[in-house]
Amino acid sequence: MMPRIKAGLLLVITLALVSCGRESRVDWATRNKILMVGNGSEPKALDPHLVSSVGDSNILRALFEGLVTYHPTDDSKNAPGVAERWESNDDYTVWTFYFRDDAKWSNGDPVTPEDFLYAYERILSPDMASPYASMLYFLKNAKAFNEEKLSDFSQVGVKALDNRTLQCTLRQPTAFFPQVVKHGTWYPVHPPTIEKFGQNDAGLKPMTMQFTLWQRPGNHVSNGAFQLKSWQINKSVVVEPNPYYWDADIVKLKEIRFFPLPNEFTEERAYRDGQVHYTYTMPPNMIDWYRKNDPKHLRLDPYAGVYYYKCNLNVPPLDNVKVRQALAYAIDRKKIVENVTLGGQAPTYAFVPPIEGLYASPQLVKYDPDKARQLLAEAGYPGGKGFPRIDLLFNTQDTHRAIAETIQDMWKKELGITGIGLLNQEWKVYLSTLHDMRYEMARHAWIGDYVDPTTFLDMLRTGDSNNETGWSSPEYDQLLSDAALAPTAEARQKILQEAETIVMTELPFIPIYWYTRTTLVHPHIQNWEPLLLDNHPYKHVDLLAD
Amino acid sequence: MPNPAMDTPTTRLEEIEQGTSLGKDAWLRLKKNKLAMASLFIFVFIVLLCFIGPFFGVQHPTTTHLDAKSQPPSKDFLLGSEHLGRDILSRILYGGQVSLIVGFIATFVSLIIGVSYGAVAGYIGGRTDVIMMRIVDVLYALPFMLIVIILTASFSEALQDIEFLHAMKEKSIVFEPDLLLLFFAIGFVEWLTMARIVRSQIITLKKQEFVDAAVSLGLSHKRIIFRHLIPNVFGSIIVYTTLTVPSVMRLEAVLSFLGLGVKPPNSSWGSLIKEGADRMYSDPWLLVFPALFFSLTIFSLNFLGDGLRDALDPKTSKD
Repeated sequence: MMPRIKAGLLLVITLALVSCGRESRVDWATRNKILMVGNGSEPKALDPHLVSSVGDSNILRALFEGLVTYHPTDDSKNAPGVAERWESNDDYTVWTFYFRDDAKWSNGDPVTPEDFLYAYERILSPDMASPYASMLYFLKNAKAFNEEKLSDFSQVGVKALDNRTLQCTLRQPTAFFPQVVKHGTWYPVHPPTIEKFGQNDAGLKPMTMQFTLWQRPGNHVSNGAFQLKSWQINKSVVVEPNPYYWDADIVKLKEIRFFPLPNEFTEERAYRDGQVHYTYTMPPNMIDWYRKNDPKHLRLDPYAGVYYYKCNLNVPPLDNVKVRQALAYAIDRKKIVENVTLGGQAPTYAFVPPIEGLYASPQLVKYDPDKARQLLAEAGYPGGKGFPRIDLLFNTQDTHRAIAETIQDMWKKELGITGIGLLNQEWKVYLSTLHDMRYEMARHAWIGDYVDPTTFLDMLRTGDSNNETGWSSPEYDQLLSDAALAPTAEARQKILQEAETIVMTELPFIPIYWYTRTTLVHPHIQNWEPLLLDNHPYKHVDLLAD
Repeated sequence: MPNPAMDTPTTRLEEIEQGTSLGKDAWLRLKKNKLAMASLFIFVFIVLLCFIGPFFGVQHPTTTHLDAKSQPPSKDFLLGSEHLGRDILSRILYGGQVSLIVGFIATFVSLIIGVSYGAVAGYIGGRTDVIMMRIVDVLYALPFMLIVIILTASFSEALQDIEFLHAMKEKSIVFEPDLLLLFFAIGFVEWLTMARIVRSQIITLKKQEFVDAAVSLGLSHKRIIFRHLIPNVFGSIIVYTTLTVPSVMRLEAVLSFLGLGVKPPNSSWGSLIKEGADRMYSDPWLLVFPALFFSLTIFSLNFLGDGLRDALDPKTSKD
């Protein structure tokens, strides 16, 4: 027995010594210019037309580049991408993009306007069922094409003037259009690759085949600063510089590795252990710890996003506006941000996060338990009696659960509602449950796609693929259309505020808080500025050991 | 002069004639095993604490106190409070009810299935035995975690629709549809070993004279199995049962750890340990106390099982 114990002890000591002397993985990675990124859930796809989550778009931003691309220090500014310059007509309805000559795919093919046309037709094709097709509704007739009311793609407002020029005709004046085309849904795809892997016996158009083998390493062709090196399910996605990228000289990283770390606690431990340079998020209980012990790692940046509960309006009792109002008024948001999320988030009594100099939301939702009780009684459930059982759905993450448990308890205390069940689902399952509207009430969040209030408000337009509540209001749709034609910025703001007032009175979405970006950023990372939309262009990022 | 030497053998004989039952013998032997006795007391204590404790003024386990979150043990929160300000002690006690009830109900389910299945297979023998035991082998080969997950997933909706359960769950968490399902799902996968043990014991027993006697008296098979054979294997059954309870509790902990067991905001020891493990760096007491209760229970049941095995073994010398 004794010799064995001694041997064991020796082994432990040796291991301890070895691990002490070992260079941490982050230091090794910095030395080799490999950026290690914790990136939330396993990506759904590496196809810009199939994804909708922030984590997935973080990877796609490395792989692809749109006509215009992200600015390293300010998300409301634009940097030239595939197009070296762009211009519009006087009323911002026709935009022309002039391509650079050296824009190339990762296999050496030139990037042409035809590639963009192909990509736009693909994402808008009804058979593709892209979750984010509505981003392209800016184009004239795009909505009709996507909804199968129009079958001729040439009538959609986009065309190639020659092999270096792309022209977009919009459904309404949009001064911020270059910002919109930075978004992942506007990325091009490589048509020969999509066609090759989309061949099928079912007689479907190769373009509309989802999840084909084109996304595999070796097959994947992209036009961004990086190209796909490997993708191991539930392990990592690795990208390496694209040698044909027009701005390849500026790219300093040799590799970026994205790790799916859906558990925030695991991710934080991985960070503390020197496994990753950057975390997707962080557990609230550690924020204070970092503030005290390691403040230079902690980043709390402004972030244009809103956290809310969406209601399925086809299900009683949520079809009753008074019930939704009662639920919304009974949530003490201040308590939640101060005690549960802890990252300096702002309690929200409106929907659209404030955008400095551009938009201020009307603050309509209150914390008013007395009014909430009264509303609930008017709706026919005095004291919560007879309130049907409903489930509150959230994707698996501890903070979502903590918030759900808190609100469940608030509704119980304030309104006497006991029939709220909590249901968690894994990210991909959760997305499809939302998409099919097989839920009653669900946690959801929206991060702006561009710096403008319509990135939030457009979601609630009738027929938008991200609406998913069954709510629709012709008056609201009309206001959004009117806003686009408003002569001045003030007039536009006023109309949009009116639209938001409708939403916040009818409350298909019950807002909870406005985000702050709470992350851990390793001091080795250079050029990682706080960005309102958190869209960091990786080509500027560098790693330097201190 | 009466010879005192004469009296002694008589008294001795009387004593021997009175005799002691098998159970009493076992109890005497168990009493000598200090570890097993200590375990028994600890276990009984924890059970009483979990089921009676909540009546003595602990806080409600799901009521949040956001202004008193993440507090170390203090006067208000004897074992501290967690990240939403819920009292850890009351969560451990209520969670303990879930874990213990899962342990007992699931074990009971597995006991009923396992004993009758094994006894029938062993007694009838021949081809029936072969077929029955191959079925057990097949079930053994299936990953039991997967079966539990499939069972819970496929029946959860059906149970959710039973209004009676929802009415009852206000009174006791045991009637929570998801938990009810868990009890039976675990029971259904845990009976296999029990069936094997009982079968092998029955096979050795059925060759013995008392069975022949029972057969020649014309007793029915049912009576022979349940009145003559099974009581003879009680020893092994009891021992294995005490070992099944902790393994079932561990399984529940694993499932809750994976998010498949109890649903929030309710707790079980497994889910509390998971929550604690996540936050052990900032709030270590969240992990320590639930883990302490859980391991104490598991250890004491295991030691008790060990002690019972020794005590119930008829071959152990009477001393």
